[in-house]
Amino acid sequence: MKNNDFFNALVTGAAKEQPPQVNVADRVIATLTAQDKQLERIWDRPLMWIAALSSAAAVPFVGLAVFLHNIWTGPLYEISKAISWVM
Amino acid sequence: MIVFSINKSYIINPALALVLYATKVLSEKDKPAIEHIDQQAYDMEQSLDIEDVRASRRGEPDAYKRLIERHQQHIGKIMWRFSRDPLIHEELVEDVFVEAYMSIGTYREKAPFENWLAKIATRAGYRYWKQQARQKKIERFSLEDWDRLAGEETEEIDSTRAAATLHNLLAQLPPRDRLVLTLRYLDGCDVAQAAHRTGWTKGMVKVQTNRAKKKLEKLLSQIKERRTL
Repeated sequence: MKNNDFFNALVTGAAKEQPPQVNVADRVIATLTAQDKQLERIWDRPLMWIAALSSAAAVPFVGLAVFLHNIWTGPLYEISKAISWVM
Repeated sequence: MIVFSINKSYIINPALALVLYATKVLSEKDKPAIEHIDQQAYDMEQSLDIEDVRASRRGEPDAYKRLIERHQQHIGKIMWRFSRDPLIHEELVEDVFVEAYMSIGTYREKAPFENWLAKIATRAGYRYWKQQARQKKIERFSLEDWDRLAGEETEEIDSTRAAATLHNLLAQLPPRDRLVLTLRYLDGCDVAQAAHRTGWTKGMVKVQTNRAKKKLEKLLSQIKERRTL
């Protein structure tokens, strides 16, 4: 039998296959219930919220610090500083 | 004239022809009635699904459990194409229902719930294949199995063995090609259905199918070469 014909025969055979029966209803509900509880716990943590808000507030300051550091350590800044000292 | 319309070979036996004609007419007469009943059952299931989806959105676990029980075998069938390991298969089915619950708010109740779930299932299966490909965990394709099956008569090929061999053969292709071939050939989807399941455009499905077919032909010719060695 040619490979292509055999491939088609396999497709026909495979289409008749009965997949195994599954029963996942209870496990899915248990997973979802556990996730819901986890979410509830997250909402109930004040310290976590304070930490999250302060981290969010710190982000612009970190950005500004990186920006200033890049300027002050850049070669152009060094040259301008040297020139101003000579003058 | 009636006799001629059924089959010319029955001219010699008019009684048989008459019986056949009566059977044909009656079965065609009953057909719309059966279709009507099927349609009614389908509509009823649809409305049950929508009721349970709405209840699930309100946070009723029993409603979602009913939805799972109604559709788990269908999703199980889809996911069996993605993994033939019973444990992984069950995990994938579970993941599909968890993911569906998380995005149940996006179901717009226009298409059947089953189709919406099938789309999520295809996405989850494809993700699993991509993950397997990244980790280089590809199912082993055995040339011996192929040869053994190729030696059998087409009618004698066991469906489970055929499906397993085909699964391992397609696993040698990249996930994208594997997906489109699985949908088009194994699940019997047309271009529109494949486009819906994958979320691709119809044009994309056509292009991808042609590419995948070429890769499959190359793979089959490689097998042929290996067999002749």
